[in-house]
Amino acid sequence: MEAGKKEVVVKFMGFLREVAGPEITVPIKDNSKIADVLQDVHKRLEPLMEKELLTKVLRNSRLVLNGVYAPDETEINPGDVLTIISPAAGG
Amino acid sequence: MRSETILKVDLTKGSISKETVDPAVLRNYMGGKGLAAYYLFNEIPPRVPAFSAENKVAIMCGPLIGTVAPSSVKFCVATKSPLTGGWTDGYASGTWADMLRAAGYYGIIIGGIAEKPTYLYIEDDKVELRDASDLWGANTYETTRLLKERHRSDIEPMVLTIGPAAEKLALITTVIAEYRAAGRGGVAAVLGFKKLKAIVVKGHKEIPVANPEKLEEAAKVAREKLIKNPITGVRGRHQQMGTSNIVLGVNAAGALPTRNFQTGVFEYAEDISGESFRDTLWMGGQRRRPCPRCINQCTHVAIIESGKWAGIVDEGPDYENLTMLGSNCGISDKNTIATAEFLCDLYGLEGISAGNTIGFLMECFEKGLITKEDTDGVNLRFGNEDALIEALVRGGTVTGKLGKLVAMGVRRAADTIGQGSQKFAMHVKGLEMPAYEPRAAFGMGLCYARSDRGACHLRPWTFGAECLGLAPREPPYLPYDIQGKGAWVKTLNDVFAAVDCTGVCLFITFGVDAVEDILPMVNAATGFNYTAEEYVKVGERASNLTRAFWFREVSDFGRDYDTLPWRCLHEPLPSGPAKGKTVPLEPMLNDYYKAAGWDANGKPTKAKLQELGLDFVINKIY
Repeated sequence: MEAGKKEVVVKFMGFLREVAGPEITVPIKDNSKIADVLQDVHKRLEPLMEKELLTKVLRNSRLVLNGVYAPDETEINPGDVLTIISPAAGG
Repeated sequence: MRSETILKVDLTKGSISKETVDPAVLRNYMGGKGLAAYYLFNEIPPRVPAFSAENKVAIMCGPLIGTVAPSSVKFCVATKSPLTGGWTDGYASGTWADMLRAAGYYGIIIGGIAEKPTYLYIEDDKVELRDASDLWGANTYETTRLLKERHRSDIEPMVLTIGPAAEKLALITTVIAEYRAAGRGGVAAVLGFKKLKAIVVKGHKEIPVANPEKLEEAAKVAREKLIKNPITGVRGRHQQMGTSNIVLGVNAAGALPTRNFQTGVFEYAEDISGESFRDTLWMGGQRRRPCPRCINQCTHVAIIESGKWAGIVDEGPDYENLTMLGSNCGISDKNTIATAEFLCDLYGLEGISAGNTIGFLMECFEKGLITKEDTDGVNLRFGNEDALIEALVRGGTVTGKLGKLVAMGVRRAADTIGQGSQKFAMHVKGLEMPAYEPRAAFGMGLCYARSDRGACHLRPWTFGAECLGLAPREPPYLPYDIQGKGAWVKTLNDVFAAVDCTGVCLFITFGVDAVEDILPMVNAATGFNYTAEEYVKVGERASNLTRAFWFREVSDFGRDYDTLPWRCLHEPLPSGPAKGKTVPLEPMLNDYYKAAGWDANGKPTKAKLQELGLDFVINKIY
């Protein structure tokens, strides 16, 4: 992430880590919300996987903003770290 | 009418009989968990000690084992637990149960005590007890090798064995069947007490299936779903990393047990992640050792090529062992973790309980509650790799003070050490807590609290839905939801208990529906034509029977037993997304009891027992 740029870091856990790698940076505007970042992530990953599956995966993933669970409508600021815990299964 | 044969072994008399399972019993209890519960509830006299001739061990198949159904390998091993004093059942995968069914048997009930070390030899209709004196003391791998050499003929014999830890009655022991562990709660120690070292089986018969064409049809549907699923499918997460693929997700959710559950965030999670194992010891996920007919293929073989543990080759570690022997003991070295799991398998120690107990002892050591006097000189600090290995060797051989503390499990170790250590002895009903921090996923807390074998991660496994994106971001699936969680967990419990009666691996439910996809296979295999409701009732019936077992066996059993360690209820997590959380258990427990048809003390009501056809239980617990 470049200093001064309005960006957030998106980290991936689970299935999307295989698709997108461990993390990406996403540009944001003023008053952006987590939902906006998710839309951006959706657009970026669309070429890499089936759209319907991607939509479901992002709808179900757990969202951790700066170490705390946060709902989609939470405001997100430059320098924030959004962790997307996408489907994985163990036992 | 469908029928199945079980073997009944009386080690005291040295006798073996064959019994046909009553068709009505077979339909109501199906197999696995259900049938094991039926036989043990009826055949173990009330309140006999777990270590007694009267206690029995049930080994039970389900109707799908050995058929074309995917992952149709999971058999049940159950008994009255010497660790908890109540019910315990566990499941092993691999190839052993296929062979038992090919020999013509659906299960084995073992009672009595042999005069000397003995093993059971089964070759189709020939079933004999043989002298195992020369095998007593041998580790599980050596026993397996020797018995395979001794009995190899046109086919390779399959071997189920106990290790030296169980011979010495270590309470945290497991059975090892063809290198796969089965059972928590000291089931292997009961066999050790009975002096039954092993069961060797060879079979040449066809496994009975009511409608082979329909079974293939239903299995094909299931296989295709599994293959396409990103978790269970080809090059999916299980094929790459097994169950350990979840380490980073669990850590991000703040639920990775770390240093005896003192926190749920491990600073070295990347080092012990499934990704890290895949890229090193598992050679990119290419070293798999899958079960027969399995698409998931979650088992990976670790080969340690350098360092002080070089030369060790073993399956695993799976997520549970990796975490409990890794982060829970403060260990971040993959070679050490793989070696630790190898030692568990070798001695027949159960890895979750071993990692939990050693983590607890490490905390006691760091807090000064025990010293080198108590550990035979071992510097038992978190992160000390040699200390972990030493503790396992001593626990596996029940040697010295440290070995005895490890072998007795965490509850007894805490009672021995005292000084308030019970507050951070992480168990439920005496069974050590597995690798999900319940303060970070309240549903798991409820699962642990009321599971029928003590703290169990699979009865049901809600963590994936709560924290790993396997369910929508809405109530009651969110990790800190309380409302609705009891009823949800109850429904899942019954469904997964039904799966435990079928003989397929629970892990296929990550790719297929546990009812819609598995039931057609069950009906094709059995011809029982269960409705979905009847099928789930098989699971509910089994769960109520095992619940009744607790009430019968433990005089003051009830709600007070359905609890969590003090730490989970009173000590807020210090870090991660769940920082500040404790588990609000009581309201969830109330909801669960209500949904289950149990009274306020957690006892199945007479009406519920009658509804499930468990009338014979009523006068045993009322």
